[in-house]
Amino acid sequence: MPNGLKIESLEIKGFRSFNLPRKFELEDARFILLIGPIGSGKSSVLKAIEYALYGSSYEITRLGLIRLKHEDMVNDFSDLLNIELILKGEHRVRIVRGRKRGRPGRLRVYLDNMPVKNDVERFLRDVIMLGHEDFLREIVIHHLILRDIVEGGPVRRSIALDRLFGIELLEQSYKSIPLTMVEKKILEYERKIGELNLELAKIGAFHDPERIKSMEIDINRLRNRIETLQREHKQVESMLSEMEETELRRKLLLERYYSLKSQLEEIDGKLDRVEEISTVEIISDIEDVLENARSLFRDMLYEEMAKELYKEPRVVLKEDIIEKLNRILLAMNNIMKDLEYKLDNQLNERIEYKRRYDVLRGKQIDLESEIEKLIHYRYEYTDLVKKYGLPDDISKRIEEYEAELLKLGRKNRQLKNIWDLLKVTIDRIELEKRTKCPICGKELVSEDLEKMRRRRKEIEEKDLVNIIRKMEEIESKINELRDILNRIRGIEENIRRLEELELEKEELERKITKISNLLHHAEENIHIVKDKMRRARYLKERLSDLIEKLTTYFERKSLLERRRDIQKNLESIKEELEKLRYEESRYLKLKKRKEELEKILFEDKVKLESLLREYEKLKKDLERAKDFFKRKEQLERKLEYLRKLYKYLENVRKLLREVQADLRVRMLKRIRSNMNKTFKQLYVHPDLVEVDIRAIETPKRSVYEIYVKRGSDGTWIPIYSKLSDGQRLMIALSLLLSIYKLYPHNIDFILLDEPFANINGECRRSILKLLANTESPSQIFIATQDESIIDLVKKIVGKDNMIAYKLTYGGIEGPKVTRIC
Amino acid sequence: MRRKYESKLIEEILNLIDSRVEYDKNTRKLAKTILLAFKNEGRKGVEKIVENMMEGKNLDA
Repeated sequence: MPNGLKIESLEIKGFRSFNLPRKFELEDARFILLIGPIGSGKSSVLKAIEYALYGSSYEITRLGLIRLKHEDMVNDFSDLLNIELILKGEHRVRIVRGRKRGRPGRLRVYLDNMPVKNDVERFLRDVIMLGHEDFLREIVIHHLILRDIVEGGPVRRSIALDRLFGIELLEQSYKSIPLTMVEKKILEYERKIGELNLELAKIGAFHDPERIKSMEIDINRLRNRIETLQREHKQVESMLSEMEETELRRKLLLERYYSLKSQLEEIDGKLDRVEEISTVEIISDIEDVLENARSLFRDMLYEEMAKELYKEPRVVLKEDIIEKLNRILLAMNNIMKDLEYKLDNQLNERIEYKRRYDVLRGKQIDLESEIEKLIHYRYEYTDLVKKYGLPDDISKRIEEYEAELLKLGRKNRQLKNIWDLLKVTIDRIELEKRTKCPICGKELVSEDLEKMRRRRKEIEEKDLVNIIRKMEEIESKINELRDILNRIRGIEENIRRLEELELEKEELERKITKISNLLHHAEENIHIVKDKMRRARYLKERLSDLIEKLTTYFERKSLLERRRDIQKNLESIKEELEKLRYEESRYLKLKKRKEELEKILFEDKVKLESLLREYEKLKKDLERAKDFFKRKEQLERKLEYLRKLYKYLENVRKLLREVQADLRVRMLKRIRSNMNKTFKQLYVHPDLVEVDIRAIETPKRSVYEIYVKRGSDGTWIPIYSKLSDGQRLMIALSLLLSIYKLYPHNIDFILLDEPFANINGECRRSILKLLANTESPSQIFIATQDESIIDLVKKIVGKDNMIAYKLTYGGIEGPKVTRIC
Repeated sequence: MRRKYESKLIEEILNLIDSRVEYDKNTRKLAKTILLAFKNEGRKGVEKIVENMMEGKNLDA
């Protein structure tokens, strides 16, 4: 197995403040200084060594205070933690510890570059031969421990030392035993037992079974007595009930008797008020009314009703006669309604016929007036025909005149042509002085020309004038005849209209005659309907009177019958009352006995209830007492058990305390020689020659006192009152370094975290000298903020024996590491 | 069996407890149980053991 393992190199990536990989090459330097301000990552380097060796950290394993998780060890900006630590001793051990965020950690160990395969963690422990807790006590020295030992009061100093010796664990275990909790429980049980004792005392004589037995006998006796009394009470009650029933019947009969009497008086009063009607008279009235009704029904064609009335020709005075008369009355009402309806219809018809008659008469007058206007055309037409003939003859004559006019027109044109020719010929002859006719070429003589002139003149003055006059005459005649013809045709139109009007008038006269007949017929009908209505109304009145009379007749008859019945009932009640007997004295005697029995029964029942209550209470108390006893026994058992447990725990505490003392003695014995050996290496002055650490037992806890032997007189003096700070520091350091080898292990380095905090320059120098003078450990890590340490170490151990790394803030990437020496 | 090198101190303490033969076996056993419970779980671990014992479980542990 390798011995004296030193650190050769350390590479950190993704651990705490380190993000990007940073490597520390340590070569064979004795002092490794990590310099940097607060939070620059110095302590993280030391914790990285711890984490590489144990896969955990004090901050993860410690109890109480703030406890971290493995995840918290991974840098915030990285997902992978990786620490590579190379230890060098007889063998070279390479430890690679990694952890991915959210995944379990992994460890690889290489022994002389050969990977270890099975149970790597165990192998590593075997190599370093030191557990995690021992490592924290022996290898890691924090300035706070130094401060507590050098400057702390007795208790604080003792706690720090106990922690170093591992005794603090025993002390804390001792304190953690919750005796108070057991005590509280014991007190609680004692209180409960006390309460149960009180309850039992209250219950009192629950254990007297004789009393319960005697009570049971009393209860049975009382129950028998109550049963006998109840039987007697029942008999008396039954007799009383019978008597009460008879009495009740008698009272009921009397009530009935008086009630019937009063009814009889009431009927007599009513009979006095109701008129007496003769049966013969009323039958005669009915027959008369029925005869009239039959006649009216036949007239009104109510055949069914009429037949029904004929079914029973003889009138029998029964109650149903009123019903029959009511039916007739109802039918009469229907007849009245029919007649009213008919009358309304007839009246409406009459109004309609009258309206239509008036309209036709108006039309007749209008037609007569129009005919009067047109009648003269007929005379004018006769005159014109007489004078000019019929229109066809006039047309023929107009045609003849027109033919003659055409003929004359032709002749007139011929004459005009001749005149024109003559004029042209005459004018040419006269102008051209011709001798020949320009038309026929015939030689002309003077007479010819004259003849032509005469002829022209004759045509101009005579022939043409005659023809024109004749034509004018004919045209005048034609016009006259045409006017006449037109006039005749106009008159013919009017005569046709006149003939139409005369036909219309005839038709109208026929209609007027018809309407007039209808109107007359309607008036006759109205008269008939009104007559029937009068008869029906009369019959209705008679029927109503008759029904009233019959109602009175039957009411009287019914009252008489009821009177007879009541009288019969009264007779029978009288007979029954005479039969009923009632003995009042016997009734009162029985009633008195019943009351007496009820009183005795009530008293006995109350007594029984009270006895039963008392009996139940006793039984319940007995049950409760049993239950309390049972609970008390259980509690007592538990209490006994707890007291035993308390003693047991006290013994444990005592044992722990004794072991604590044993361990303290052992530890002090073990470190005393080491401490003196180290002290002698460190402190070379002759004034202080030996150191001793002693435990003093006090009631609360053991405290430590460190003494030093003065060289001059050999006296042991306490260091806290007699030595300087520097001297005390050296003694404390001797103590810590002696603990370094308290248990044998293979680690040959020590980690000092801020050992110089609050320590002045002289003391620092002394500490460094002391550390330089010690034989073991051969590798000392110092993490400090103070850069002046570098020069001090240089001076003490020389440049070759030291390495200094400066750590500064590096942002997300992690601390920047610079080797400065 | 105790794990070697887990903590030499604990090992020594447990041995010291075992060496106290004037105490009965159960007391020694309980002292060791309490010590380890405190080491691993703190005060609550010890309280849990004592609570269980108060309820009648595990008095002979």
